[in-house]
Amino acid sequence: MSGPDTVRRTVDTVWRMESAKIIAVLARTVNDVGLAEELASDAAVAALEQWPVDGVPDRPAAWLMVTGKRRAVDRIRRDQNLKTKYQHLAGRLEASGMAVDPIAEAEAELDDDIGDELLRVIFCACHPVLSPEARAALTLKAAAGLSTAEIARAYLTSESTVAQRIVRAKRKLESAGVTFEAPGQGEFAVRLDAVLEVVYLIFNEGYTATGGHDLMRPELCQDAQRLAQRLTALVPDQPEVLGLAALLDFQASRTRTRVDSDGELVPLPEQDRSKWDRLLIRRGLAALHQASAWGDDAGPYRLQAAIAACHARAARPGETDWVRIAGLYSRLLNVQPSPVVALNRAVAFGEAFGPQSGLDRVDEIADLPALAGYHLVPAVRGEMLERLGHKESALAEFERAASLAYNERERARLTQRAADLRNTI
Amino acid sequence: MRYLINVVHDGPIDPDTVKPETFEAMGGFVAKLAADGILVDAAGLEPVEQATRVDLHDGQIKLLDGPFAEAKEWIGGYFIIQVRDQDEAVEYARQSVEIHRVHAPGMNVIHEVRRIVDEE
Repeated sequence: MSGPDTVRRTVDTVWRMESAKIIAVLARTVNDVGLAEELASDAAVAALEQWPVDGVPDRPAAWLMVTGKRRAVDRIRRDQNLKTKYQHLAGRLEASGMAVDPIAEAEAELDDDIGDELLRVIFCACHPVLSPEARAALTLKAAAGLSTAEIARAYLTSESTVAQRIVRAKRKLESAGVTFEAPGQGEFAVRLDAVLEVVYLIFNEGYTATGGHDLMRPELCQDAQRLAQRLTALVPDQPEVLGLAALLDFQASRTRTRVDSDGELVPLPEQDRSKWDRLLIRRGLAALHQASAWGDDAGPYRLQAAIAACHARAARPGETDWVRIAGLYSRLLNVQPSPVVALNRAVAFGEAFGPQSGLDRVDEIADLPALAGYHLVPAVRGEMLERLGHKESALAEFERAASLAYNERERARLTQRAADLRNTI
Repeated sequence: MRYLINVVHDGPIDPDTVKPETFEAMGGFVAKLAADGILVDAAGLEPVEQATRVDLHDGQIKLLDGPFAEAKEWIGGYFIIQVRDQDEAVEYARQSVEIHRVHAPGMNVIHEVRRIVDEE
């Protein structure tokens, strides 16, 4: 017999490591991700009840899978709707439940190459019929091995909210007729984009936490990194997947330095680069290098990763290759036109080709409605004007920027900037 | 959380005597770590005979070239993985040991699971 605490820890560990595979195999069997996830969760509950009495089985993951399959048979027998839906399956499932050694069979299934099935689980969980919140929750649950409680903690919401979100997502998949199939060729690129977006949003939820006291929730960042890494193995022929994996690694490499002891964000040039995580930078650079085999026609994640790599490579801010960054921003603007990208491009042009070039780029976009009231527009203009020696105009821009800034620290920084400049006039 | 798993042997290993199948199995395991999304870094180390020790002892710095007859443990390689907790890291170490048991019969090996300090 094992103590309930030991059992819980074992179940948690097995669940974290193996649940995605168990769900993938079950989904292949019942042809439904939602049902597969429920069956696997039921099996984990059964483990919590049985293992303290019977002891932890030698092959816990295979045990969960066999139990999941038995549950499937029970449910199909009991539920008239499921009976009709899975008529063809019940017999087969029962037969596999009566195999000479179901555990050995389940273990063999777990050892099979189930990459395709895993990928299909992720595609289903990130299906466009679902809301962004539902996609993230279902992906973390079905593909990343998080419990409902862990997802709730990560998103600062209640367990019941997450549970409901997942139930509704499954219903939605069912009512929309989403089957356990990989997207067809014509659809593949769009659906993969949706998957990458979900992973990126999960990362950002942890990186720039939108709610709560902590500015970052590193566990969630790590879950997203893990998903991105998994995807690079599941879809090895897609450079954007490598680009996303690299981008997340570069961003995560700065986790230790991007927030100061007061919990305030530290801008890139002021970060202590000696504390950047060299291992993640190395892994990111390797992924980016691997992606370069597909040539120069890079998508948005690869381009953003390439920009982040320029910063990662520079041991000091002064060594940053701004000419390269400026070129990368121009390409990024082409594939992903957005006012914020355009503004970043202007900053890069200012660093690479001098303040007049930067100012010209800002002025091209300063009147865009999307940038109206955005404090960084006057802040960047002020920066360029000051470097051009137009102190009076620069002062006015910094004052305007300070009045628009919504973050206290940013406002203080800009006010100080204006005060310093005023003293020199 | 990140863990360093040191693969420690109880004596020098002559790479020429290790069966290619063992290397293949370990390569497969590293690929699995990558596919599971947790591999940060992994490497094998050159034989310890080629190593040099730079020792500080009682204020004296000494350089000592291998082999080191008195040593009882030899690090053959390492993995660095990013996982959610120590139980998970230990389970991966167990899997690696299992692979040694199956694919390198007679080889004694210790996997030392060490958490890497998270700087805040």
